[in-house]
Order: sequence, then structure tokens, then C-alpha cells
Amino acid sequence: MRFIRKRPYILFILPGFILYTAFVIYPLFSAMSISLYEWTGIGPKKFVGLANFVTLFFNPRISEMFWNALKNNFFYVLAELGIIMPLQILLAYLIFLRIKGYRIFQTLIFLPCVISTAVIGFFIMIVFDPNFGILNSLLKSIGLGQFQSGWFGDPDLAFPLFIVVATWVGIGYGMMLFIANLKGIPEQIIEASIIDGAGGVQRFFRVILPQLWPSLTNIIVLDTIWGLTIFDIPFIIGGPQGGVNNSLDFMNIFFYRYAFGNSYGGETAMGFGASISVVLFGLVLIVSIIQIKFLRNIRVEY
Amino acid sequence: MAEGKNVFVITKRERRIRLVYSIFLSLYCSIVVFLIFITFLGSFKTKSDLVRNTLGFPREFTLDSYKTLIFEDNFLRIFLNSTILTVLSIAGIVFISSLTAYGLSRFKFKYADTLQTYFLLGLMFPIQLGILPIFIMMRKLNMINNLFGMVLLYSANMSFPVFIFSVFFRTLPYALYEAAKVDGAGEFTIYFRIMLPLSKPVIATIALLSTITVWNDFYLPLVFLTKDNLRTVTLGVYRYMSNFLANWHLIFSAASLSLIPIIILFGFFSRNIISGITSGSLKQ
Amino acid sequence: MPNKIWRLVFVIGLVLLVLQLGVAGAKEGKIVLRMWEHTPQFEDSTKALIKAFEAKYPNIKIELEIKTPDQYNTLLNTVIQAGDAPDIFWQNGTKTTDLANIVKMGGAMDLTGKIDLSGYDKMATDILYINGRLYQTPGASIDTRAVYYNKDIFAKYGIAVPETLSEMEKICETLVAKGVTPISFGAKLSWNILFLFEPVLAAVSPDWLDEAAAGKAKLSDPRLLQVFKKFEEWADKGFFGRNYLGVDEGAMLLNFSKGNTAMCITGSWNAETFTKNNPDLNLGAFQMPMENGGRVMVVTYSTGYCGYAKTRHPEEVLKFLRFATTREAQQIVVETQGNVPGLQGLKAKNELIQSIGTADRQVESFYNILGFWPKEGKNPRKIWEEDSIKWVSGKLTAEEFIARLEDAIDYSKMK
Repeated sequence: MRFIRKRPYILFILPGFILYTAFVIYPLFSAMSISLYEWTGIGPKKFVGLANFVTLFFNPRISEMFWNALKNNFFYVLAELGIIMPLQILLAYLIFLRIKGYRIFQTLIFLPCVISTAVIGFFIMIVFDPNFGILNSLLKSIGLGQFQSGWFGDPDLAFPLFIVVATWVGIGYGMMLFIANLKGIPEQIIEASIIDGAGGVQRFFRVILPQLWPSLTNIIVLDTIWGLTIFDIPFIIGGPQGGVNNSLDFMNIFFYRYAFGNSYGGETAMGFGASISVVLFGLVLIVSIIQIKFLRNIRVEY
Repeated sequence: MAEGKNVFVITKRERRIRLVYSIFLSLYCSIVVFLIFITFLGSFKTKSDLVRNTLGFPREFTLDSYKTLIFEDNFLRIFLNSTILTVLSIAGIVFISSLTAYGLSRFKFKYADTLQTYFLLGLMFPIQLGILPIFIMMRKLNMINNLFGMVLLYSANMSFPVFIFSVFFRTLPYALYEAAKVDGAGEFTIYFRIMLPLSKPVIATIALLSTITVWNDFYLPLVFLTKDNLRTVTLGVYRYMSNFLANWHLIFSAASLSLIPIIILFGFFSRNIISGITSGSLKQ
Repeated sequence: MPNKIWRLVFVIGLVLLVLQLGVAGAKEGKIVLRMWEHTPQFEDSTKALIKAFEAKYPNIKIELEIKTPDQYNTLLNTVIQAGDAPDIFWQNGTKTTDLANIVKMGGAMDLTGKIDLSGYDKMATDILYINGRLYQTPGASIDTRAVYYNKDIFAKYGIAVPETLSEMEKICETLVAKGVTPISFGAKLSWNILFLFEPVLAAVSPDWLDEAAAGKAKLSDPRLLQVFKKFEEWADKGFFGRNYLGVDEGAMLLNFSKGNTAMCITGSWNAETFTKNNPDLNLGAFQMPMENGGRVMVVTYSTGYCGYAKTRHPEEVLKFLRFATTREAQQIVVETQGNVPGLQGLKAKNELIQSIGTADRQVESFYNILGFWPKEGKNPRKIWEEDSIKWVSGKLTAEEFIARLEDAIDYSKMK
């Protein structure tokens, strides 16, 4: 008892630790061991050592897909941190400032996050379908028929367009987190800056942003993890094959395609699929540990 | 707008800039309004009207697809399932993850940082990967086709809420804790009486974000709620989607039905949610 | 939100939960069997089948659970390995590798000698055996592909149903000239490419298909390349319209359903979907005509159900499986599903289905053939699934694509 009384945190952490370890960590790690086997998902397993990893890196057809998916993940993370996150901060700040109509904006910007992915997929179809979608019909009816496009069917256009859609769907999530954090900034600090005569933009960079920094670093870590493990939106747009010419292929879709086949069935290779997710896991872990170490050491001067 | 006190004195120039933002955001927001409007409109069309005239106004209003949903496919029951599941899961998630995060972030001990990372691991895998071991465990616990089992699973996936809670708890003033300690309050008393009430904004945020996760989750209910009378809304919608062409008049109305509670929640209670977030804003 | 509201919501939730638990678990002393079906598309027919069965055996109740096709096999594998599988479940015979694996795991009941297969076509029953033992019931429907056409559009431009392949091409050219997209196509999933490619293959080189199925022709055969080239030619001439890349099956079918295109080449199982979706569509169908006339049809047989090896009610499961094999049961399925009947004595639901089932020649599916002789550790079907889109989009040439497929085939396994 004394042991625990000296370490009260044990009682706080233990229930969660047990639950989390049993239902999240244990299943995932026991499934990771499958990566050393050749296994279709059912039936006997055959131990193959590191053969799955060799295939992943050295089979020309497969490794091409692997690097392509990784590249897409990388660019998506860049877009998240470089485009989506600044927009989220901006929106959160505007709502925090209570610009005209902020309540309704907050609700409507957030709404796409709440709509189930199946319905989002449906929206994407009625807007972007090249044959009867709203966008092409609209372009035609206003006499801009030459700008009609295959949209997601055009491998060069698919990725940028995906970024736009992903932004539209996901922007409200981070925005909410930033709003909650902005509300935590003591008012005196802001009032002091007003007395100093700082203008809107200046105030944002000199007062608000440094105050936001601690939570910002954490959201960078989360965004990176999410960016590297993204699945839902590219899946509903590009399907298990990862879009035309793998333009919307991501690591988790690549994993899914091998581990579970595609709609209508298809052939599966659970063991190989597991090896993909092991590589992905290693990558995410390393990146996030570096980020956590690195970002914690940065202090914003002001 | 007259609502709320504006804490900031603003210049004329700034006011103009804000107006530009407002106009721009109105345009942006009209996209989602338009899409939802089309969905609602479509839900009142007959099947063949919907095929030919997908986006226009209905030629005749019909409630047929709603009737099918509610009376044949038992959509109200499905609705109830989702509601129960979401409410209980939120309670579970908030309770267990705030407790864990508090332990992780308020006390200084040797492996605190490592543990913090450990609780993040769950975000780094596709959940599909571990489904077989989870299933075997759930079966042993007799938790298949059991809403409590689902609540347990959702609460166990605590990586994200633990992370957010931890960040927040680190910002709570330590002086309060010390003062209570001097007064002789126990650790749990401090937690429940002092720390949790201070955490309203973050609790509201987590509750909100988890509601989305649970309400929209497709995979876990698919695996663990196999009985027809335990289906959730997302499963219901997905089932129509996977036989898209034959059912698509039902998709419009099912999507509309699934949107209604969300719009109510945000439209009518957004004032409360925001004030919930604000009321806890910290004064150091 | 104020505390009170939260509390209220929580209490309501709890009350509802308790109520719900009370409702469940009311049974009337019947034997209950659990059954899994893999797609909502078969919901109506499976329910009709169960209804007929329960009417015949009133002491047995079947609880049907319908999954979605993309998750079905994963879920089934999971529950079999966890020892908690449904008593009866759908499987696809040797058309996919799943049944063989389930058998290896000891998941499927050995039905050898317990089911009366008389009257069934050999092609329909061959796919039910693993290592010479019977593991599932047959289906009496032919899953084929068909050319659906919009009769109104054909009538408007004075077009008749083509009798030869060149007539078919001429029709498409006429339509393109009139500004109508001839064939609705969506290339998001490899399957929709397959269901369009196979009829073209069957019409251009039926001999190659027969020989390949018998293990006597290779993929490098110039006759196969010719088919790929023909497909590319059709695409270049605009027979599939301008936009088909990235379009999914739903949008492809809908585009035809809306009357935007004259034809749609897809699975026979979609006949009912078209009619259901748009009852006003003046729908006709035919099988692809060959170069020198005569129609050809890709035939794969549908399949039925397996019994779970560890079921607690083997007798009742057998009763159901036997019932599902009878002509009476198959007629129910064929009729509610709008399938092409593949068993003598079964009637097609209507004229449309009748015309889908009419052909002068039957050939094997290309996808099936791809899986006959895989190289150790390689999987030609998987390569088709992944790379067919790259071929259609032009990233891979026909020659490169065929070479990739061939690289995964072990010809020495052919007999």
C-alpha cells in the first residue's frame, strides 16, 4: 500500500493501461508476427522468415507501388502541415474573434466531418462524376465546356483534387481543437497586446501564435500520424486499387489491398499485408518520436 | 451582430477585413448546405424521378422511401442502437481516458514520456490488422452482439483522447493542486472535485470528436454487431450503398435521416456546446 | 452542455439499453440456425429461399445475416478461426481460393454423398469439389456477362441488334457520329474492366479461350494480343465515351440507367438492378456476336452454401442444404434474383433474362483461366486486379501487361 501511496499515478493509469494493452496493443502485436508467414488469411501458415519484406523492397512491381504509396503519404502530410493546418488555425482564429456569422460558420465548416464516409462518397460522386456530375454539367451550361474534365479519372489531377476534398472534409476537426486551445489563452495577454497597439496580423503572430505553440506541436504530431495512416477518403474516391495509375494509393490502402483483397473478393495475402503494416508502423513510430523530441526543444521567442 | 460581448476593440480597417472573411466563408459554407439540400430534396422523389432528374426539384413529393425505411427496414430501431452506443461510449471514453491522461501528465515519474508514446501506438496501425485476436477475446468474454462489448472496445481505443487530455492537463495550474494537497484532499478528490470541473472545454471537445468517431464507425459494428436488430445507422447506410443502384432512393432518405440528429445537435445546441467550451476558459 | 442535460441523456441511454436487453432472447423452442450471405444484392432471393424452407420445416428458424462483399471473406475467416462460424454460409466454390482454405481449416462440412446433384451440369458441380470431396451446394444460375441496350435509343437511330462483330462495331461508330456514347464503362475497379473485356475476348478469339482453358494455349499467343488491341481500338474510337477512368460501377450503371448511353456491358446479375432502378427504361439485352455470326457467352456457374463443420445442428443444416439444391428452391432463387437459369426445367423470369441466356457457344472466363496455373508464390489474378487499370489508362501497353500476367504463370503445370 505504501508503494502505491507514494506513486498515486499508478491508480490513475492502471485501468486504462490494462484495457488499452489488452484490446489494442496485444492484438496488433500478435498480428504483426504474421508478417513472417505466408498466409492467405485462413488455413495453415507457412513460415517464410523475411521473404515478405524482401518482396516488398526488391520485387520491382511491388516496390514501385510501395514507394509510390509512400510518396503520396509524404505529400499528403506536407499538404496537411503546410496548407490544411494553417487554414485550420486561421479559421479557428476568425471564429475566436467572433466575426459576423461565426456560429453558423463553425457549425457548417465542421459538418462534413460528421457526415459518414459512405455519404461523403455519394456527395463526391454527384459532384465530380465526369458524365453526369454537377461540376461538368455546370461548366457546360455556362459555356465553359472545354474545361470539363475526368476529375478523379485524370491521374494528374486526382491527387491535387483529393487534397481539396480531404481539406473540405477534415478541416473542421483540427479547427475545433484550435478553438478549444484559443479559449484557453488568458484574456489579459490579449488585452495587453491591444493596449500596446498591435494590429490584427501582428497580434496574431506575436501574441496568439506563441500561446498556441504547445498545442500546435502536439497537433503536428497527430496530423503526421494521421497523414501517414490515412485510409477512408482516398479509399472511397479511388477504391482498393488506389485510383487511376495508383494516383491515390496510400500505405494503408496498399496494405488493405493485399490483406483483404477488394470488393467482390479477389485474392488475399494476409502475411504480406502484415509486412506492409509493420513497415508503416516502424516509419510512423520513428517519425513521431523524432517530432516529439525535436518540437519539445523548440521555444518560440517573443 | 449583437450577440456576445466582443472582448476586443477593433479598428475600422480590421472590421472591413473581417467582413471580407465573412463573405468568403459564407460562400464556402454554401457548398455543404447545397449538398445537404440536394440530399433532402432527393429523399422526397420517386425512384424513376430520381434517375432522370437527379438534382432538380421533385416532380411529385412522396414519402415512400421514408416509409420503407421506417416500417420495413426498421430504421428507428437502428437509430436507437446508434444513439445508445454513442452515448455510452462517450461516457466510457471520457471517463477512462481522462483518468489515464491525468495520471500520465500530472505526476513526474521515470517512464512518463515512454508511457505517453506507448499510448500513442494505437494510432499507428490500421485497426483491421488486429481484428482476429480481438474477435477471439471478445468471444471468450461473450461480448459479441453486445453493446457493452462495443463500449469497451471504443473506450480501449484511447490513443487520441489520452493524448489530447494529457496536453490539456499539463496546462492546468499546479498551484491549485498543491493548495488542495495542503488542505488534506486525497488524489481522487482533487481529480474529481478540482481538475475535472476545470477541464470542461477539453471534455466537450473530446466528447464531440468521439461522437463523430463512434457514430460514423463502420468496421467494428460490422464485425461485432452481426444481428440485424443491433445494426447501426452507418451500417444501414453502407448496406444500401453497396447495392447502390437498386437502393439509391433509400440512400437519399437514409442519409437525410442520419443527418437530422447531427444538424439538430449542432444547430440548436451549438450555443450550449460553445458555452460549454468557453465556460471553462482558464484564468491563471 | 450543462451537466443536467448530460446526465439526462446518460440515464435515457441506460434505460433504453435495459429495455433492449429485455426484448432480445425471446424464442419459441425452435432450432435456430445462423446463416451468412455475402452481398445485399442477394438479400431478396435468400429471404425468399428461407421463407420457403421454414414453411416446409416449421420447427427450424433461420437467422440471416447479410454482409458486404468487400468484407465477407475476412469476416468469415475470422469467425471460423475463432470457432464461432454461422451454421450455413455462402461460398464461391473453386472460383476463388477461399473455399479450399476453409476446407483446409476444417471449417466446411463434408457433403460427399449427402446431396443429390443429379440433373446439374458438370460445369456447375465441378467447382464444388476440393480434393474430390463435395463441400458445398450448387447454384442453378449462370453468371454471365451481357450487352444491355436501350431500346429507345436503338429505335431512334434505326439500329438493329447486331448479328456479327463488325455490325456491332458499325453500330458504335454510328452512335459516336451522332454524339451518343455507345457503351457505358467505368474503370475504377478491375472487375468492371473484366466484365467488359471478357465478352470482347469471347467474341474476337473464342478458340483461344477454349484452348487456354484446356491448357493448350499461352498468354503470349498473338490471338490474345489481338483482343487487347481490339479493346484499345474501341476505346480510341470513343466507343466507351471520353470519361471512364476513375468511374465506379454505380456511376457506370447509373449513366446507362439515365438513358445517357446506348449500351452497357456488365454482369448478368445486374439485369434486375436496372429494372428495379428505373422501371421506365426500355431495356433489352443480347450476347456478343462473333466475327462470323453466332453469339458467344462467358459462362461461370453460381454456387450455393456450405455447412459449418462444427455446427451444433448438423441434421438441420443438411436439411437446408438439401432443400437449397432442389429444383423448387432453385426456381425461387432464379425468379426473385432474375438470374439466368442453368438447370434444365427452370424457367427464366422474363424475356430479358431469356435473351441473356441465349448463345450459340459457351466459353470459360478469362479470370478463371488466369488462376489455373499460378507460379509458386505468384498470383496472376492479383496482377490482373492491380494492373488492368494501368493498361486501360495507357500507362502499360498491352504487350507489357500480358508479359506481367504471363510472368506469374507456370506453363509446366499444364497437362
